[in-house]
Amino acid sequence: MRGAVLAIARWCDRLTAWACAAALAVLVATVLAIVLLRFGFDTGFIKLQNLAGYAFAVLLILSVPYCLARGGHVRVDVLSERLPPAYLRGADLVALVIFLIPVFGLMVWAFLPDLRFSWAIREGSVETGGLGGVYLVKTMIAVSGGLMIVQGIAAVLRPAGEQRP
Amino acid sequence: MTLPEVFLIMLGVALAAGILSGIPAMLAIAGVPFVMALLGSMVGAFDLGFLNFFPARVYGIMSNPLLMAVPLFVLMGVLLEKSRVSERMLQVLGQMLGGSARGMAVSVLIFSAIIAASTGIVGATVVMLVLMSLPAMLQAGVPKPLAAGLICAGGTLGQIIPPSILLVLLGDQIGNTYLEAQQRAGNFAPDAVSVGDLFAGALLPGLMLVGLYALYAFAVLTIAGRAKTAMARSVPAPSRPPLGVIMSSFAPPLLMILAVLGSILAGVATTTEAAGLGAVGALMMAGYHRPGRGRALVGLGALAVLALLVLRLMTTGRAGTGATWVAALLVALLVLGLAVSVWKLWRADVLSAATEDTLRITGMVFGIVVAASMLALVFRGFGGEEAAAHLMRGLPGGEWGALFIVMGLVFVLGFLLEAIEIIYIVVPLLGPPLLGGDISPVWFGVLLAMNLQTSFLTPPFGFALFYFRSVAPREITTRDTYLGVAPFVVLQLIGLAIVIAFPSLATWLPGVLF
Repeated sequence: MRGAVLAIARWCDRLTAWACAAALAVLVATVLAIVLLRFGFDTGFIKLQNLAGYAFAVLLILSVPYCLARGGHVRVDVLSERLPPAYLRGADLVALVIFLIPVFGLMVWAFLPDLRFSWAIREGSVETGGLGGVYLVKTMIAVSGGLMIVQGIAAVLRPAGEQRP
Repeated sequence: MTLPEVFLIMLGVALAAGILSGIPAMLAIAGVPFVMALLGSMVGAFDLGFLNFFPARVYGIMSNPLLMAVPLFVLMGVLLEKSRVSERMLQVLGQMLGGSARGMAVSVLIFSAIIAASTGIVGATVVMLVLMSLPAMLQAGVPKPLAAGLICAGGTLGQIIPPSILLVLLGDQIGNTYLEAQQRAGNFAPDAVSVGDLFAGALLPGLMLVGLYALYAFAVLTIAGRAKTAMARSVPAPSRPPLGVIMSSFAPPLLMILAVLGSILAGVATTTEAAGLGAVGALMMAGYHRPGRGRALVGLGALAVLALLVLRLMTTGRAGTGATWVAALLVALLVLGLAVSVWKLWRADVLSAATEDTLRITGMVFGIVVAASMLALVFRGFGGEEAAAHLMRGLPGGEWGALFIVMGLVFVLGFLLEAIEIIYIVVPLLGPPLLGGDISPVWFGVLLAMNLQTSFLTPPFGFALFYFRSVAPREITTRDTYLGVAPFVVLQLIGLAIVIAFPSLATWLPGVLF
């Protein structure tokens, strides 16, 4: 059971990592293209602006579970560093059950009506002549919420001292 | 006291406890308000409908174009760190000014200021300074506490000297809060505050801090030097490095900073565009410094970036046909240089390492931003905005009293929390009553930034101290470090007092430029 959850979390993390890296690459390339077009040729495309925005949105929301899977979120350990390691594992378990799962569960659950509507109309950019596909970007909010819960559970299940991905 | 006010106080206490419990701070910042909201709804003090806005707020953060600059600046800093461009700079500087204790101290400060402008990542700068300059400083006769203080304080300069991620986040928060507060106060057409304004505003105070640090170091070393001149003499005077070496190690990073900062301040590029250019510039610089074939191509590509900027400055407004061909050629060179650079960095595994670091830091920053939107929502749901406004109106001294309270609070919070957390907790929650008045938002932002920079230096949870401790040799005790940092915290407060006394230090440059 524990092995299965950890394996799923590992796979999720690998996918997250690729998606984040791709989003970062697209972001850098698009911003560069926008600058070059404007500086060199005095032109610009709304679609390109939209693409940069989408890449950033995906990067932002997926980088949070990416960071969680690597234990990268800041902790204030002034007090806890003086306590035994068992304390921190206990605190993490409590935080998972009363904070992480409810908050990110809410992020998914409260968003479903909006998301359903967004899919139904195949929501695109608000600008005229903009890029379609906003509904896919919005879907990432729900995906990220799910990933946070998976990685949170995996972090608590992972045996002490085992290398994070 | 009303029931919601009781809950607001409980929220504050529980939040502090949650953050101090050692769980990831973002979980406490999002989770504690959530639980409080549930408790509040049970006794009718909170309308749970508020919580339904949470995902929409998260989407609001995702579609905020200002924040786009953050991952790009992070990438730029991480690449410069991994490419060892900065290490070379410090080596050359040390050779130029090295030997005497004062020369070493000054060269470390100059280097900190330059690197602060280019990377702005506290951890990376402090670690690098310890590894590269601490042995040299100690050998040249700089006392241990002063060396520790210089490195820690120098490492935090990146927070205040633009371009800085902290200023981008502050600009986002202050801009929003200022607009809302002014409109609520009846001013329906306030001048918007941009990140560019804050960059311009922070430039002089940042350089002033470098000056204060230098004065202090000079004074301490002069007094110490009189006591034991013999010791400093024992170090042989180093030979000056040739001009070519100086140019090749300093010119590229300095040009890049000038290009990034200059294009923002001159108004030719948005912060995001400049950050993108900076990331691309850092990619090329890293590629150029990797030994192997294709260096000439990368160098040409980097020059093409600068040439494009110059072309833009010269031809704005009048599109000549000849310029288009020049531009096409430059773009082709740039793309070629960039491709070679990316290929080299990919082969050397630098690219993947830099990407990993960038993603992790980005996730850390935005984890707090996302979590803080939950806190702000619940704070609003309990009527916290009115309560804060009411509280501040009751303070003696009006606006000034409120300003001092906020500054004091930020300073105290700085002992426990990180700057980003403080920005997203304090500005939206306590900012509106202040920003609704006549106080200049740029000045307020610069004061906050200087104050927040101090939070990296104050024990026990000063990030700079943390990183210093993790790499410094055993012979420098924690006591040495704290003793060394204390005067710099005082200098920081002096700097803050100077900017409070002379607001034009912060407001003059943005006024001239924009």
